[in-house]
Amino acid sequence: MPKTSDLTKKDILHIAKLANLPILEENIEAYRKQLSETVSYIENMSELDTKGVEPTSHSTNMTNVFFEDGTKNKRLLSQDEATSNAKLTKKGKFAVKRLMG
Amino acid sequence: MDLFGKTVTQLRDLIKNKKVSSTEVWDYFAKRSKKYNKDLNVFLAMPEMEPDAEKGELSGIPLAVKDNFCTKGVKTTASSHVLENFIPPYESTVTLKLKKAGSRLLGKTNMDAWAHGSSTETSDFGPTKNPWDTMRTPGGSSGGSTAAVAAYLAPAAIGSETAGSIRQPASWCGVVGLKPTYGRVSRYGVIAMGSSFDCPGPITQSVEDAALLLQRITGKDPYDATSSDVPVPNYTFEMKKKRKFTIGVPKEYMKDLDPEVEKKVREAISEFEKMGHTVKEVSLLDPKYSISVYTILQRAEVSSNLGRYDGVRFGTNRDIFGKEAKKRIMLGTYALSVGYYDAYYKKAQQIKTLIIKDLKRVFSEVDLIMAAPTPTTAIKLGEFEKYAFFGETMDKLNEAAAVAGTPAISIPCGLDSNGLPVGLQIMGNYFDEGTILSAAHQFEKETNFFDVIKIGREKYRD
Repeated sequence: MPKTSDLTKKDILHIAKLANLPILEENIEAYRKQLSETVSYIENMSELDTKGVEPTSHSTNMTNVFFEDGTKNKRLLSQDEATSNAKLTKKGKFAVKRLMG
Repeated sequence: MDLFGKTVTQLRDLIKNKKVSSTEVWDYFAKRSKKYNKDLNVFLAMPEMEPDAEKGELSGIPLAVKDNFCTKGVKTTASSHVLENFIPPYESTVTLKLKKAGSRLLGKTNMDAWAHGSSTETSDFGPTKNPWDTMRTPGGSSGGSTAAVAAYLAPAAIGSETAGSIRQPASWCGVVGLKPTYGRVSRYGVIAMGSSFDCPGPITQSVEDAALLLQRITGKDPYDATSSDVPVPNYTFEMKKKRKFTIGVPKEYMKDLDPEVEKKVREAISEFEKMGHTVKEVSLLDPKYSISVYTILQRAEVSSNLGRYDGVRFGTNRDIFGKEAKKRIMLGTYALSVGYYDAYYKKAQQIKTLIIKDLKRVFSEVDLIMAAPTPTTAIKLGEFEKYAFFGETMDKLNEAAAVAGTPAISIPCGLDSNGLPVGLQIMGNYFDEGTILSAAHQFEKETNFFDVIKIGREKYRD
């Protein structure tokens, strides 16, 4: 398992970039320290032998859940409702920054 | 008529028998809520009374609802500035079911921002104060909801739990808080924290009210694929059954407790013995592993769930997230990133399997497991900040049931020498809320929770 000391300022900047999260330079050290503490705590997981153990995602193991035909439509929002909380809209649509030049 | 301290069940009967009108009940609670909100900071929004409530089992009952349930037309923030202007265009399944049963939304309650925390101190709108001692935290993340019930600003409330967020504040505020089985109650319209854990549940003054509210909010929901189609029993009927249980007390959950908490919890368990139940010691995986599993899986889910807040469809830009949310998003992103997935995420999911097996093994020998819900009683505001991992430590006794998705309740079982409430946690097997309610109800009948609920609200009588 990776060691605590692995978390560097570079790691924090990389993670923040992956998460699309703006962070302030002055907070980087605090994040680095706190995340390192957490990562060193969870290293206790390596004390347990999990060889051959199936991972669980859903606790009651439900599988194959489907919608009845038509059910989905009942909760459709109108275009006005769907855009009612957006700061920027254009002709009833969400307005976003240009993605390509 | 003096409505002070009346339970939901009592209010319902008074309204039904026309001893009091639903408008009088609304006015009573609206007035109290406004009066005490300045001191306690419980409500983030208090809507006007909806004039034409539906008719049903909860006709005219005002309920407080945690601010992470989407309520159509009523601001829903999850206590974060990111959503400070968010007006949901749809209603969560839980609040819709409660509305259809005739209840009215009294207010939206304060919480830790995004439910990230165990004290309400990460709320962007200031912490809620514990009604027992306003220098202390009510616990969290459903601290606004538990404080509302403890000070009787609402006859009952709805909270949500990811790991401990109902049981821990219920214990610190001296009220009843039930976390149902994962999937028993729909998550649709609940602002997601850890989607494989999140579970709405009732916070009440009596076990009977917990059964009544649970009945109204459970069931398969086509809009939440993880909601379960296991048939829903009649919880009030199950609660009233006078069964004798075999109770397991895990030794790993009785260590590192505040001595006064341990004493009260042990005394409560001996009450069960006196009532004729069988108590035996059992052994569970050390709760420290649940903390790790929970931390990894929940942070990973947080990083994914909070990915949707990009300021395009609703909410603000991502720079508005508070420090706690940013920390969790980053840890989750790290755990899911290339090279670390197997070591952290997959490993945690494998240990989740071990925790489930461990609980199932114990539940093959006992009907219920009893322990403390938290190692201490309510701590002072500001204490949490001093320790990086304090929140998880405070919730460690709650995390096994959260990781496994099994149900559990916290009920009051006495006061410590500071006069603060102590809780007893009763855990049950999957979908066995009925057994938990029955045990809790038997304890309530026998002890009246040592008057904890009554003592707690007394300060707020006028």
